[in-house]
Amino acid sequence: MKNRKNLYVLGGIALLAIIPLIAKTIDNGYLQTLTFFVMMFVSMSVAWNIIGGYAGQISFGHGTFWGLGAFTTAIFAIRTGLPAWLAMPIGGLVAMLYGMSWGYPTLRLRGPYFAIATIGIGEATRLIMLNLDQLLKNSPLDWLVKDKPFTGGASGLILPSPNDFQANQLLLFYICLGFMILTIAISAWINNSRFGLALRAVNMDQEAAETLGVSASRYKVLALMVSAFLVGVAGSLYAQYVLFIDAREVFSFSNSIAMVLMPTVGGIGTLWGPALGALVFKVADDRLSSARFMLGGMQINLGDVNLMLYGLLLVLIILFEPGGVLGLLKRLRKK
Amino acid sequence: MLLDCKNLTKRFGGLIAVNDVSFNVARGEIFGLMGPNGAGKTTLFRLISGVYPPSSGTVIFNGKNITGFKPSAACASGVVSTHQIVRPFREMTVFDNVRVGAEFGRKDPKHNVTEVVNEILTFTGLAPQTHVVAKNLTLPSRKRLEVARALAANPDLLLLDEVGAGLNPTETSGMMDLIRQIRERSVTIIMVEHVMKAIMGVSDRIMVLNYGQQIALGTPAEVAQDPQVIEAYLGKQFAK
Repeated sequence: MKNRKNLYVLGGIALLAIIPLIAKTIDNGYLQTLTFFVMMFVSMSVAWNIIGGYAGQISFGHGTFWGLGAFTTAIFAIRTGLPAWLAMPIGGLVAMLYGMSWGYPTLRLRGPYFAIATIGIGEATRLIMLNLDQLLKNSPLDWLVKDKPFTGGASGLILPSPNDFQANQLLLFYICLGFMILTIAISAWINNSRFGLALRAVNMDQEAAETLGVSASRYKVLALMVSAFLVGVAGSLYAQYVLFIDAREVFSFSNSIAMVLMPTVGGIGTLWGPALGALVFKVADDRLSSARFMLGGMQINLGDVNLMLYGLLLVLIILFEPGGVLGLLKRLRKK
Repeated sequence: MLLDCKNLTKRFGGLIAVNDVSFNVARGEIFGLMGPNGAGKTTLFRLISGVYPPSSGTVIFNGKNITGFKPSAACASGVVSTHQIVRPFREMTVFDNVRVGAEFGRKDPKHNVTEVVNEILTFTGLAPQTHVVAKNLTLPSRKRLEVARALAANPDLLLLDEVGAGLNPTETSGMMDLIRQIRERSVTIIMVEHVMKAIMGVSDRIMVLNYGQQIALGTPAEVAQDPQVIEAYLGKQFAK
């Protein structure tokens, strides 16, 4: 049983590894880009699940970590002229410190109050990043924006182009694959560790956990920091892949929503559910954005109504299958 | 004295839930806590275990002032409480529930966690249900799990809040036997219990609260004769 599972995992990794080799021949490389994004979203979903699933603290503020990872990378690449991938750990670190700074006060809040606070943090962060260049002008930090934009405001930042675009995309693909494996491995380790036991205890009954000696706030902040670091690295990968970012897009609320949606669709609080959810979500998103049909003489683009469809999906899952796709699969297998 | 509570008071807005209560508990004692509903028993527990900070007064435990310690810090000092309404970690197995106590309570460096958990599961009679998910347990087993989990945290002082509530007479007497056995492990116990026969039979001393105030303190026999206690439970006409 255990061996078979390992075989599946190895098979999956091998399959992903050969995708860039075959993508050219089947659809001119689109499959490679789609797979890159699926792997990035799997990492984000699995990382969100550490605080949102294991510890049960539903964060709508994870978009801030992703955006900070992306901006740290862009600013690093533009200002140092060094290869952008060197900024990946720095992007993660910046996101982690940011997570620690707002995690300490907000993780004292319970249940929906924490979730609401994270929405506020996400929105505030987006607005600050969007207007940061204006705020810095004529301030003591004026030198940051003197010769070139810092965050670029609404016009965004363009990263220096790599010498060989194709080779860079290929390199990023394999870095992303490695990063996804690392993220899942960290999540698996936490799931089986003393740390994970504390998070699950806090999730199920914080007061009972505390009377048994679990220092709830310490473990929750730690979980948020690990989660933030990983999402920050994913943001860094994103910036390197698309080479253009702006605050409105990378800090948009829909990214935060996606990180809540994917684990919920797949199976919140489990190891493989969030990965599965990200796969379903991203592939469906890709198909939907180009699908259209005629209704009463009107052309409907499904890409325009996809948020509505996700909302509907979320309601259906919460009502009928709280275990998500993974829970559904398990139930079908029992029958 | 293992525990020395001085002038403990807890106010919630205008309500005084615990009013100037002082008592102490000796090492190895089983100390009963009684009183009608709303007398302040659970609140008093929560002041000792750190769920609420007291409005005034002090809690000295093992010679150390633990007043206002958070529950996790109180647990690290050796005070662990169970909950009136059982609160198992529902989706975890019995083993993992007890493991939380063993991992995060006061570690005994002589034993590893798995040994501690297995020993306690055997001791509390939960061994056959080791791998059952907690939400599927019957009430008597849940009550035992609540005690087992707290014991795994290796306490010097165990606060048991109505571990007999909702049990039938056979189950209750089984629970009281378990409490006596816990004392043999040199754990001091303070227990709240509504089942008279149970608390009278097992306690060395009993304190009675009414409206947040201490109205009697003594051996079970003394307390049972106390006119104020009879009045609190049965009404004025029975208190001669």
